[in-house]
Amino acid sequence: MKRNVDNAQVEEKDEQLEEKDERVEEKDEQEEPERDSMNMWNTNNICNCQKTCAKMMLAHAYVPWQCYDEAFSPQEALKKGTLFPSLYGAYPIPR
Amino acid sequence: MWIYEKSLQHPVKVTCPDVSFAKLVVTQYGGPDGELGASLRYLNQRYSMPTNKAIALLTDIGTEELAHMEMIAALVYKLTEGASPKDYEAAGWGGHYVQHNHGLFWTDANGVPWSAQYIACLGDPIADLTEDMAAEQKARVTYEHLIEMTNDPCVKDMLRFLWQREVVHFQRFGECLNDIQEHMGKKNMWCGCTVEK
Amino acid sequence: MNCEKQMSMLRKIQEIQFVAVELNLYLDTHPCDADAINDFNCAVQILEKRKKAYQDEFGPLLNFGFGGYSKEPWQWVESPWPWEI
Repeated sequence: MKRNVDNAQVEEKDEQLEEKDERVEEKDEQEEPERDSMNMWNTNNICNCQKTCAKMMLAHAYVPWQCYDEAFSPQEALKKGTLFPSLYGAYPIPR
Repeated sequence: MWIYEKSLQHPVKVTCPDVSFAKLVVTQYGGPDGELGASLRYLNQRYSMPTNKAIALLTDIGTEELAHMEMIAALVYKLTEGASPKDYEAAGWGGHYVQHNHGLFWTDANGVPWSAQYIACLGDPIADLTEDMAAEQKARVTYEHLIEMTNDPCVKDMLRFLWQREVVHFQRFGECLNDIQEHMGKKNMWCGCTVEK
Repeated sequence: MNCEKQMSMLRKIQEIQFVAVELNLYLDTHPCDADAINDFNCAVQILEKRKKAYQDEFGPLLNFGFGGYSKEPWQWVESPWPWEI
């Protein structure tokens, strides 16, 4: 399982859950959001959901499709305001 | 219908009351790019959307915006908790005290009351979704201005959460627009004919 | 009332609820992402469990329809409102 959310097994007791969550959180602390404003279509990360934009028309606005291939831990997600690392840092974070 | 849940989407804490900042942040309650306008805009635009996906997204984001309005309300409540009339006056918000006491009211940072003119609904999915994307951008920038205007780390945290939500909503509306344009293109509802090259 | 415990349990609810909200919005525009649906269902299941544990101890989060029953007297008006916590 590649998603952090999957780490939280429903059957597990909450204590175990928290331990796992915290471990994931440590990993997240090291992750700095990457900005690559030129690479709109993020070719490193092509997946099926991006195919639908293949036929782009002039005078229409498009947003690159987001893929779900990684997630913050629930704790980190609530702190950061998104579950998705790819959307965190898409704009410079105000301090 | 809507079900009320007795909890905030994200905790709202303040280090200490700050009436001056309450006067500014109230714009996200009832200003042009605030959460009241956002929720009403999306919930109202649902009826003219051509796909179930678009209706679902507007319903769900509109509902989340109601929760954001409650967070901003809780913030204004806490920033003015225990403030005296003199505190309001010193913060340049004496007019609010005179008319509303400790009650909340939907205004922008300059005291201009909320207006339905902040909302558009053209009944055209492309125009309306583009309006929604612009609204998310304007709200994002307003949060950036507000974050600059406070030194309270607790308040900054909470505003940063709301700021990030605008970014996520923009992404979702954008994906929805991609989808709608493809949907409408297939049906030739708007492009007349496609020129094959 | 054990305020610290209440806050911590509420926080755990907010966390997993937020995961559900994020996946809900994601699925609105990516309805065929099976992995996301799996994670969404997983988050909802944890959320239900945490809400039940919270409501058993600190009173209702939702007035009805989601498993909570009121004790006497009517509990809905007793527990603190979100902006009072």
